[in-house]
Amino acid sequence: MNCKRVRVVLFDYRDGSLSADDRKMIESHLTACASCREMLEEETRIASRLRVVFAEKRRAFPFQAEALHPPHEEFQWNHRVTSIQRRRFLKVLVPISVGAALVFMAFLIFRPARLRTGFYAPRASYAAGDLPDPFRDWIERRMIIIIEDKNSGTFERIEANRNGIIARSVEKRGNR
Amino acid sequence: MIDSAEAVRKGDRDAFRMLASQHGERLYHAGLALCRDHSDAQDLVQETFVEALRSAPRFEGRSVPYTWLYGILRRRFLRGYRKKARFFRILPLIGREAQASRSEEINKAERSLDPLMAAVTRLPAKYREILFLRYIENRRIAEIAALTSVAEGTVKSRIHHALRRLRLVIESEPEYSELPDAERVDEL
Repeated sequence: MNCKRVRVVLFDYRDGSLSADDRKMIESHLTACASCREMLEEETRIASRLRVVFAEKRRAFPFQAEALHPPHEEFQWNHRVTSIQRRRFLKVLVPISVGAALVFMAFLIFRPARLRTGFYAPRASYAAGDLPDPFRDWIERRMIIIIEDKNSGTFERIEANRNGIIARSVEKRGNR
Repeated sequence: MIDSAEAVRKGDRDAFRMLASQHGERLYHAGLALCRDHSDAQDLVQETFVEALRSAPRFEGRSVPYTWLYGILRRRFLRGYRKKARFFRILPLIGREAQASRSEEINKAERSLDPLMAAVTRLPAKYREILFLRYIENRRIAEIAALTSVAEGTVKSRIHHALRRLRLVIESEPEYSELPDAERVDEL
């Protein structure tokens, strides 16, 4: 048995997990080979040194049993703390943001005519009380023209799209 | 042992206290070997117990509770380790600063330590763990292989490498070339 093979099983030899025959062979090699013996002794030496320094470290930083706390009573054993926190956060944040978005969209579409600018702004002018219907305006490309006659105090209201005039009506000023 | 496994399976606060009193100190020693810092070790033990109670219903009682707890501790440590490594990869600049200040702290702590302990602290975690399991807990190669889920050959080569590194320290320190006195070892 050569040194190389002995060194492979030296750890097992220390463990005592070798068969009796192997053990005998290793032992006979160790009595003969000084360098392998030295290796085994050195391991023992380092091991005992390690035990000393680890014990010193333990003494320097002792275990603080009182610093361990059981988790909170309401702790849900089946879930992770982080996911509970995340869920709680989402439970509040998602409805609020969805609600805010809906309110804003409703305002954009149904806001009163005087606040209208941009895309949904009336092409001419809306008569008073004329509730805007932006989708119909948009789809039919409807146009409402109101002509005011200052002498008689009447308005002529003309609704038209690309096919021509749809409706025509005359209103008194008092109706506004 | 069976009673404690039963109580653990129920997963209550008493079980936590019982686990902590039975295995807390031993696990802390394992944590001390794995972590470079003792407060990290303390946190690791706390997290281990919390996770142990959470996963208690899955504990089948096939292994000794300590082995099961050690496995949890080890996984948690590795998770933290990888997270830290990822953090330092992503934020190299901040990471380097943080790492520098951290290692400075550790160096300061090390200076008060024994040179051999300082050398152990500087070893990679896998070597530190194996040294702990082998020489402090006196485990066999096969047990270590099972605990760390690597092949027995790997365990042997790791022990070999770790010892080789420590040997360099011992050789450079004259006081370590002499034999250790037996009483001192026994007393600790």
